[in-house]
Amino acid sequence: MNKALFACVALCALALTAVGCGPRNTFGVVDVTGKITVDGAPVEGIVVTLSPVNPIQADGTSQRAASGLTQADGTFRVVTPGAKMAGVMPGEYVLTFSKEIWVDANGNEVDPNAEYDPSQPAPKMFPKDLLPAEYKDASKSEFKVNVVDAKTPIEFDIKSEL
Amino acid sequence: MKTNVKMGGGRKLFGFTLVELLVVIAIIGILIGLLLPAVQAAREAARRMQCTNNLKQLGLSAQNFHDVHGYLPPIAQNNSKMSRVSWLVMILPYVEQSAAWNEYANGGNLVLSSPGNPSSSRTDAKIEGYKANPWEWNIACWYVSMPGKICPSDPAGSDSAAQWFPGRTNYRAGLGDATIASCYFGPDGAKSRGPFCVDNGNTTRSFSYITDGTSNTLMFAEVPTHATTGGSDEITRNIKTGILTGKNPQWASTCVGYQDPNDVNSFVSSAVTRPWLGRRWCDGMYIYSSFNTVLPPNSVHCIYSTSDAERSIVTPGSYHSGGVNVCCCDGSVRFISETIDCGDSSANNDDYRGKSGKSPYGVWGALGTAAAGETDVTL
Repeated sequence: MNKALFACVALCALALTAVGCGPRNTFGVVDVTGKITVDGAPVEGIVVTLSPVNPIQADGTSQRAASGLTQADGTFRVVTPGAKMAGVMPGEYVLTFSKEIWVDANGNEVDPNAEYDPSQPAPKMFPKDLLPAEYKDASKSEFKVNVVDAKTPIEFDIKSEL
Repeated sequence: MKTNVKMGGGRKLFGFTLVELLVVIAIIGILIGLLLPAVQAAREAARRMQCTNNLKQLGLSAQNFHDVHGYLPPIAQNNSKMSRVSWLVMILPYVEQSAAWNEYANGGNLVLSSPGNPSSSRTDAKIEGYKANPWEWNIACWYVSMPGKICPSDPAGSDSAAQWFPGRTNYRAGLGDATIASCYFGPDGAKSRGPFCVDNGNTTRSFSYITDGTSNTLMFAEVPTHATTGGSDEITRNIKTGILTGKNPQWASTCVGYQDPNDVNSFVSSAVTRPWLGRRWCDGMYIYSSFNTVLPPNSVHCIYSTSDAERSIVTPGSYHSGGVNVCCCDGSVRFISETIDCGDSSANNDDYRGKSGKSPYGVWGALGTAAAGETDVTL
């Protein structure tokens, strides 16, 4: 009797503590994992972006874009801005890819995070994409995915030159 | 349940068993557990109300500034009369800080006892007609006590000077939905799409420019601050308080890609971040004084390079539950939910910056722009 009462109280306390803990999935995102290869080989540091086909759905709700970064093995997970957990909202997306480096006026690669003399204007540098420019344009993208749940496969092979 | 124990002397003693005591303690624990979140929520509600009030005061002071001058307070002017100060400095006389304003306008007094970085400081005494620079750490008026520029919910938000940098602020001016470089080193050709800042900061906009409607255009919003200059790595890596450097804000999605999927509150370990947010309340550089509505509330900030003058994305955010406080151009203060329609945040910003046309960033972007033909936006 006493043991049962004790267990009951302990359980109630635990349940109360658990309520309200952990982030809420406000946007209903699903944590998809995809894989991108370039000419068949994985490349690290490609930003993969899922742009919504319809930012405003037929029912009036909005669908957000999501982005992720490829690992050394070519896999990536995406994050939706503002969401409290990794993933993307279910729906239709087009994919864009970019891998930007920075170059100076002569086209030599520079480190954008290098320190410089703050009393002088910042050194001029420009972003340069190592992937074809077409991959950055969502309106021209032929890579489409309809995300249903976390198991939706997102696997594409892209070319280093078009 | 009470047990009467008979002792040798025949006296009755009332006692409790261990189980009874545990039950009572557990019940008290549960009651406290129920009460504590409610108390915390009430305290946070009070802090949020204080934040709302701060924004209201700033909104009113900007209205008063407009009444007197005919335009909104300028940011980062580049001329012989003014140094590169923020809108907050410009409205000092309108928030009962005339003493600080007069001191600034007369060159600024030196504080020699402040801790800091002497290499970036001014060592000469007061110069008549000189306008103190916002990066000069030892100017007394930069340390003016002005609690209204701090949101009480921000854990980093004490009004005291952070190491060698002047005091902080949570409140920033709206630059619309375009990512533009600070004009101080010369305009980069793109004008703001918000109510503030055009050309090299010497001119600014008036309410007549805001054809989207003053109640539909954001004037000020809150952005978290970073506690210290060096900063713990954890705070600098936090997406709310750190700024990602060396990423191209033309594509906001590029910056989002560096959020860590294993911990969405942080940037990935390979990302380079800096502790610039909220420091130097007096500085007009956009990353210190302004925000834009490119990315949804409570998401990442990023900048082109390690130059604080460059194109950046500074996103409103807060420690209030579920959204951010904003002040519209009509002086009204609203709470914007973080689930607001933000359109397609992966849009190419160069298709919009310096141009007319509706914002690609949904209702959130439309609220940021001042004259993009979005009169139908309702909150």
